Amino acid sequence: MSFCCGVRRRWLLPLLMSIGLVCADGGVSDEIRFFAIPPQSLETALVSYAEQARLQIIFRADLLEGHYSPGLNGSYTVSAATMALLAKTGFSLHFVGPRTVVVDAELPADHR
Amino acid sequence: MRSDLDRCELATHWFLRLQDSAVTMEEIDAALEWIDASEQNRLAFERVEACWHLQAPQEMPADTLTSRPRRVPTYGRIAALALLAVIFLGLGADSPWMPASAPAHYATAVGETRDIVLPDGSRVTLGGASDIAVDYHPYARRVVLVDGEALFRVAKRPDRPFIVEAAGGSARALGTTFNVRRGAEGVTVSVAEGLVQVQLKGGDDSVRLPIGNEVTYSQTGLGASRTVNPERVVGWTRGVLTFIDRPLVAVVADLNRYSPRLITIEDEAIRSIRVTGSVTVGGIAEWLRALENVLAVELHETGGQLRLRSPRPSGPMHGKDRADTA
Repeated sequence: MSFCCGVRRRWLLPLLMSIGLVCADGGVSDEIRFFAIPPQSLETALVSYAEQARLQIIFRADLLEGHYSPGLNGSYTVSAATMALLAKTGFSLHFVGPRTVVVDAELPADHR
Repeated sequence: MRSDLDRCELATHWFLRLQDSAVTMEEIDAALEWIDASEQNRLAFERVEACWHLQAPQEMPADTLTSRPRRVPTYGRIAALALLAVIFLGLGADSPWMPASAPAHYATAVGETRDIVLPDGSRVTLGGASDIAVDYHPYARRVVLVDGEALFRVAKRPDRPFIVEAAGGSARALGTTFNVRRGAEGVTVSVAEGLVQVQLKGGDDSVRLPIGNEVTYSQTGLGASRTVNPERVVGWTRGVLTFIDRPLVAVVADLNRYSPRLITIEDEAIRSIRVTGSVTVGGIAEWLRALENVLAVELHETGGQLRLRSPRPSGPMHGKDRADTA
């Protein structure tokens, strides 16, 4: 099962994409989708994101407890939508299957 | 003659109760029980109904789905019914109204979903490994969810309540879209459109669920209602199953209605772990493999089964087990 190069590296991905590198997930990250995600808990926002990106997603129900999302509206690539939703949340997505993502808690910067 | 008059009064009584929006499940049950008790009762009831409709020629025909407000004052109708109830005793038995049809049964296999159009135009989407019995009467539309899950898009018929019964409770709607699912946690009723009343049999517990709400009931009673994305209520009919904060045991039970390979949980400890996620019916195995990244579980794909269990401590016996997950 191939692992994506990583939405995890938020700074690197836009750079890689801008010079035409395609993610190891086979291009799913480049697919453009329309997202209509109203403000809600981050838990259900990420499920909506996955449904609208036609991805599968799974995470522990208590992982995102107490986190909220302002939502997202408009056409985005899957990776851009991911970044918009998860910026500054301390969480990231990574591919564990061709169309399946899981949610990770990012380690604090001084632990990297 | 005496008993015919009694029957006529009772038929009128039950018919009027069923027209009342405040009718309880117990009354509906009692009414249906009385109607089903004998052929004469049923005929008497259908005559009362026929009179009621004859009194309202401006109403939509019986087969039309759209509703229209009643224009005849109720008291005038009751008076007319009382009069007609006496008159029709002298009429012949050949009612112009369709007799109640025999209950119909629909069932699906694992992984199969099926769309069914009911006699009044209401539509049912039956989930995988699901089973319903449809018991349509001219005066009530009754569906029993025997197993699994079904989404109901109910044609509006204010004079004919639509009732879905499942495991000791029921959901009653006049015209709406709602889902009823039997699962590990009990029976869950979710409303995608309109308003549904959920009621437990033999108890006073009931709740009115507006659009975007759901409730679960079980032997322990009626739970608190919670919000749900209305679009997600119908999502499974497009092959997308969504779980918001559900115990793994309930998730697996739902997945097993779609998975070609039986999924089992081997350790008690992981059954109650709560997960959130979204999975397509074609991607169940891929999604379960992802679980290994999320929880302390291992997925073993052997013998046509998908087995979830807690990781075993490393040891000489362990290497063999690891091989079949690679």
